[in-house]
Amino acid sequence: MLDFIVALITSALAGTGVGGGGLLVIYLTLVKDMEQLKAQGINIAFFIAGSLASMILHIRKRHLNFSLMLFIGLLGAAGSVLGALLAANMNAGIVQKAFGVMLAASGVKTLFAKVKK
Amino acid sequence: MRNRYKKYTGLFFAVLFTGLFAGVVNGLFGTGGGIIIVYLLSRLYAGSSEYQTKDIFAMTVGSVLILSVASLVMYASCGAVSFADTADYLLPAAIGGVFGAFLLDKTKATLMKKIFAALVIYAGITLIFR
Repeated sequence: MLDFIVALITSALAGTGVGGGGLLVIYLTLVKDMEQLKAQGINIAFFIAGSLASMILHIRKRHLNFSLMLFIGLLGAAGSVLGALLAANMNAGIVQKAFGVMLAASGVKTLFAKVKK
Repeated sequence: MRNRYKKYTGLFFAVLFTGLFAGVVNGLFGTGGGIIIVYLLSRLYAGSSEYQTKDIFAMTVGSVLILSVASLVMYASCGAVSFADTADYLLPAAIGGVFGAFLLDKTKATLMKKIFAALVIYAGITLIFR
Protein backbone atom coordinates (compact mmCIF):
# COMPACT_ATOMS: atom_id res chain seq x y z
CA MET A 1 0.00 0.00 0.00
CA LEU A 2 2.88 2.35 0.89
CA ASP A 3 4.43 1.44 -2.48
CA PHE A 4 1.21 2.45 -4.24
CA ILE A 5 0.96 5.82 -2.45
CA VAL A 6 4.63 6.70 -2.97
CA ALA A 7 4.40 5.75 -6.66
CA LEU A 8 1.21 7.79 -7.11
CA ILE A 9 2.65 10.95 -5.51
CA THR A 10 5.97 10.61 -7.33
CA SER A 11 4.28 10.23 -10.69
CA ALA A 12 2.02 13.24 -10.08
CA LEU A 13 5.06 15.33 -9.11
CA ALA A 14 6.89 14.20 -12.25
CA GLY A 15 3.86 15.17 -14.34
CA THR A 16 3.72 18.71 -12.95
CA GLY A 17 7.39 19.36 -13.61
CA VAL A 18 8.25 19.81 -9.96
CA GLY A 19 10.55 16.84 -10.32
CA GLY A 20 10.13 13.37 -8.99
CA GLY A 21 12.30 11.52 -11.50
CA GLY A 22 14.75 10.42 -8.84
CA LEU A 23 12.26 10.13 -6.02
CA LEU A 24 11.22 6.54 -6.69
CA VAL A 25 14.87 5.44 -6.93
CA ILE A 26 15.51 7.13 -3.57
CA TYR A 27 12.52 5.36 -2.01
CA LEU A 28 13.44 1.96 -3.45
CA THR A 29 17.12 2.12 -2.46
CA LEU A 30 16.99 3.95 0.88
CA VAL A 31 13.64 2.74 2.26
CA LYS A 32 13.24 -0.66 0.61
CA ASP A 33 16.96 -1.40 0.43
CA MET A 34 16.77 -2.49 -3.21
CA GLU A 35 19.84 -2.83 -5.48
CA GLN A 36 20.63 0.41 -7.32
CA LEU A 37 20.39 -1.02 -10.84
CA LYS A 38 17.06 -2.75 -10.24
CA ALA A 39 15.65 0.43 -8.68
CA GLN A 40 16.75 2.39 -11.75
CA GLY A 41 15.15 -0.15 -14.08
CA ILE A 42 11.86 0.04 -12.17
CA ASN A 43 12.08 3.84 -12.30
CA ILE A 44 12.39 3.75 -16.10
CA ALA A 45 9.34 1.45 -16.50
CA PHE A 46 7.51 3.65 -14.02
CA PHE A 47 8.33 6.79 -16.00
CA ILE A 48 7.13 5.17 -19.24
CA ALA A 49 3.74 4.28 -17.71
CA GLY A 50 3.29 7.73 -16.17
CA SER A 51 4.43 9.73 -19.16
CA LEU A 52 2.39 7.70 -21.67
CA ALA A 53 -0.68 8.64 -19.67
CA SER A 54 0.24 12.32 -19.32
CA MET A 55 1.36 12.57 -22.97
CA ILE A 56 -2.19 11.79 -24.12
CA LEU A 57 -3.32 14.96 -22.32
CA HIS A 58 -0.28 16.99 -23.40
CA ILE A 59 -0.82 16.17 -27.09
CA ARG A 60 -4.36 17.52 -26.89
CA LYS A 61 -3.57 20.64 -24.86
CA ARG A 62 -0.05 21.76 -25.72
CA HIS A 63 1.71 23.19 -28.71
CA LEU A 64 4.43 20.66 -29.57
CA ASN A 65 7.20 20.49 -32.16
CA PHE A 66 6.82 16.78 -32.96
CA SER A 67 9.79 16.41 -35.29
CA LEU A 68 12.19 17.99 -32.79
CA MET A 69 10.71 15.88 -29.99
CA LEU A 70 11.21 12.72 -32.04
CA PHE A 71 14.72 13.72 -33.14
CA ILE A 72 15.90 14.38 -29.58
CA GLY A 73 14.15 11.22 -28.39
CA LEU A 74 15.93 9.04 -30.96
CA LEU A 75 19.31 10.62 -30.23
CA GLY A 76 18.64 10.01 -26.56
CA ALA A 77 17.70 6.41 -27.31
CA ALA A 78 21.13 5.87 -28.89
CA GLY A 79 22.81 7.55 -25.91
CA SER A 80 20.79 5.58 -23.41
CA VAL A 81 21.98 2.26 -24.86
CA LEU A 82 25.51 3.39 -24.03
CA GLY A 83 24.46 4.66 -20.60
CA ALA A 84 22.69 1.41 -19.73
CA LEU A 85 25.72 -0.65 -20.81
CA LEU A 86 27.91 1.55 -18.61
CA ALA A 87 25.55 1.09 -15.65
CA ALA A 88 25.45 -2.68 -16.11
CA ASN A 89 29.24 -2.97 -16.25
CA MET A 90 30.20 -0.52 -13.53
CA ASN A 91 30.50 -1.27 -9.83
CA ALA A 92 27.01 -0.72 -8.33
CA GLY A 93 28.44 1.24 -5.40
CA ILE A 94 30.06 3.72 -7.79
CA VAL A 95 26.83 4.09 -9.80
CA GLN A 96 24.99 4.79 -6.54
CA LYS A 97 27.50 7.43 -5.40
CA ALA A 98 27.47 9.09 -8.82
CA PHE A 99 23.67 9.04 -8.69
CA GLY A 100 23.89 10.76 -5.27
CA VAL A 101 26.17 13.45 -6.70
CA MET A 102 23.80 14.02 -9.63
CA LEU A 103 20.81 14.28 -7.29
CA ALA A 104 22.51 16.73 -4.95
CA ALA A 105 23.70 18.84 -7.89
CA SER A 106 20.27 18.96 -9.53
CA GLY A 107 18.73 19.81 -6.14
CA VAL A 108 21.13 22.70 -5.63
CA LYS A 109 20.42 23.91 -9.17
CA THR A 110 16.65 23.80 -8.59
CA LEU A 111 16.94 25.48 -5.20
CA PHE A 112 18.90 28.43 -6.53
CA ALA A 113 17.39 28.66 -10.02
CA LYS A 114 15.85 31.95 -11.01
CA VAL A 115 12.15 31.42 -11.45
CA LYS A 116 10.70 32.50 -14.80
CA LYS A 117 7.14 33.80 -14.64
CA MET B 1 23.98 34.19 -45.30
CA ARG B 2 27.18 32.51 -44.24
CA ASN B 3 26.62 33.55 -40.63
CA ARG B 4 23.14 32.13 -40.76
CA TYR B 5 24.48 28.83 -42.05
CA LYS B 6 27.03 28.81 -39.23
CA LYS B 7 24.32 29.51 -36.69
CA TYR B 8 22.18 26.57 -37.85
CA THR B 9 25.17 24.23 -37.97
CA GLY B 10 25.96 25.23 -34.38
CA LEU B 11 22.38 24.61 -33.30
CA PHE B 12 22.35 21.22 -35.01
CA PHE B 13 25.45 20.08 -33.17
CA ALA B 14 24.14 21.49 -29.88
CA VAL B 15 20.96 19.42 -30.28
CA LEU B 16 22.95 16.37 -31.45
CA PHE B 17 25.38 16.44 -28.54
CA THR B 18 22.83 17.33 -25.86
CA GLY B 19 20.33 14.71 -27.05
CA LEU B 20 22.97 11.98 -26.95
CA PHE B 21 24.25 13.16 -23.57
CA ALA B 22 20.73 13.21 -22.07
CA GLY B 23 20.35 9.60 -23.21
CA VAL B 24 23.64 8.51 -21.65
CA VAL B 25 22.69 10.10 -18.31
CA ASN B 26 19.21 8.57 -18.38
CA GLY B 27 20.56 5.14 -19.27
CA LEU B 28 23.24 5.32 -16.59
CA PHE B 29 21.05 6.57 -13.73
CA GLY B 30 17.53 5.61 -14.81
CA THR B 31 16.55 9.29 -14.62
CA GLY B 32 17.99 12.76 -15.18
CA GLY B 33 17.70 12.98 -18.98
CA GLY B 34 14.69 15.26 -18.69
CA ILE B 35 16.45 18.05 -16.84
CA ILE B 36 19.06 18.21 -19.64
CA ILE B 37 16.44 18.28 -22.41
CA VAL B 38 14.43 20.99 -20.60
CA TYR B 39 17.62 23.06 -20.49
CA LEU B 40 18.28 22.48 -24.20
CA LEU B 41 14.72 23.37 -25.27
CA SER B 42 14.63 26.41 -22.99
CA ARG B 43 17.77 27.70 -24.70
CA LEU B 44 16.45 26.88 -28.19
CA TYR B 45 13.14 28.64 -27.57
CA ALA B 46 14.45 31.41 -25.30
CA GLY B 47 13.34 34.20 -27.63
CA SER B 48 10.27 32.43 -29.00
CA SER B 49 6.72 33.34 -28.17
CA GLU B 50 5.50 30.26 -30.04
CA TYR B 51 6.40 27.74 -27.31
CA GLN B 52 5.65 28.38 -23.61
CA THR B 53 7.36 26.80 -20.62
CA LYS B 54 4.56 24.23 -20.33
CA ASP B 55 4.95 23.27 -24.00
CA ILE B 56 8.69 22.80 -23.47
CA PHE B 57 8.00 20.59 -20.49
CA ALA B 58 5.50 18.48 -22.45
CA MET B 59 7.97 18.08 -25.34
CA THR B 60 10.61 16.96 -22.85
CA VAL B 61 8.27 14.29 -21.49
CA GLY B 62 7.75 13.05 -25.07
CA SER B 63 11.48 12.86 -25.85
CA VAL B 64 12.33 11.14 -22.56
CA LEU B 65 9.49 8.69 -23.19
CA ILE B 66 11.13 7.62 -26.46
CA LEU B 67 14.62 7.26 -25.02
CA SER B 68 13.29 5.49 -21.91
CA VAL B 69 11.91 2.66 -24.04
CA ALA B 70 15.45 2.04 -25.33
CA SER B 71 16.83 2.23 -21.75
CA LEU B 72 14.26 -0.24 -20.46
CA VAL B 73 14.97 -2.75 -23.24
CA MET B 74 18.67 -2.58 -22.30
CA TYR B 75 17.98 -2.96 -18.56
CA ALA B 76 15.67 -5.92 -19.18
CA SER B 77 18.06 -7.61 -21.61
CA CYS B 78 20.94 -7.48 -19.13
CA GLY B 79 18.68 -8.90 -16.42
CA ALA B 80 18.70 -5.86 -14.11
CA VAL B 81 14.91 -5.72 -14.01
CA SER B 82 11.96 -7.92 -15.00
CA PHE B 83 8.33 -7.19 -15.75
CA ALA B 84 7.32 -8.76 -12.42
CA ASP B 85 9.55 -6.24 -10.58
CA THR B 86 7.83 -3.30 -12.21
CA ALA B 87 4.20 -4.54 -12.20
CA ASP B 88 3.24 -3.03 -8.82
CA TYR B 89 4.29 0.46 -9.89
CA LEU B 90 2.70 0.80 -13.31
CA LEU B 91 -0.91 1.52 -12.29
CA PRO B 92 -0.12 4.26 -9.73
CA ALA B 93 2.34 5.73 -12.24
CA ALA B 94 -0.36 6.02 -14.90
CA ILE B 95 -2.91 7.52 -12.49
CA GLY B 96 -0.32 9.92 -11.08
CA GLY B 97 0.78 10.90 -14.59
CA VAL B 98 -2.72 12.00 -15.62
CA PHE B 99 -3.20 13.78 -12.31
CA GLY B 100 0.13 15.58 -12.71
CA ALA B 101 -0.70 16.72 -16.26
CA PHE B 102 -3.90 18.31 -14.88
CA LEU B 103 -2.00 19.89 -12.00
CA LEU B 104 0.47 21.45 -14.45
CA ASP B 105 -2.34 23.85 -15.35
CA LYS B 106 -3.40 24.61 -11.81
CA THR B 107 -0.33 24.92 -9.65
CA LYS B 108 2.23 27.56 -9.00
CA ALA B 109 4.82 25.05 -8.06
CA THR B 110 7.60 27.32 -6.80
CA LEU B 111 7.39 26.40 -3.11
CA MET B 112 6.88 22.71 -3.89
CA LYS B 113 9.94 22.87 -6.12
CA LYS B 114 12.08 24.28 -3.29
CA ILE B 115 10.87 21.67 -0.80
CA PHE B 116 11.49 18.94 -3.32
CA ALA B 117 14.99 20.31 -4.07
CA ALA B 118 15.90 20.22 -0.36
CA LEU B 119 14.67 16.62 -0.12
CA VAL B 120 16.67 15.62 -3.18
CA ILE B 121 19.87 17.21 -1.82
CA TYR B 122 19.41 15.34 1.46
CA ALA B 123 18.86 12.02 -0.34
CA GLY B 124 21.82 12.64 -2.66
CA ILE B 125 24.18 13.23 0.26
CA THR B 126 22.82 10.14 2.06
CA LEU B 127 23.55 8.01 -1.02
CA ILE B 128 27.07 9.40 -1.42
CA PHE B 129 28.08 8.58 2.16
CA ARG B 130 26.16 5.35 2.45
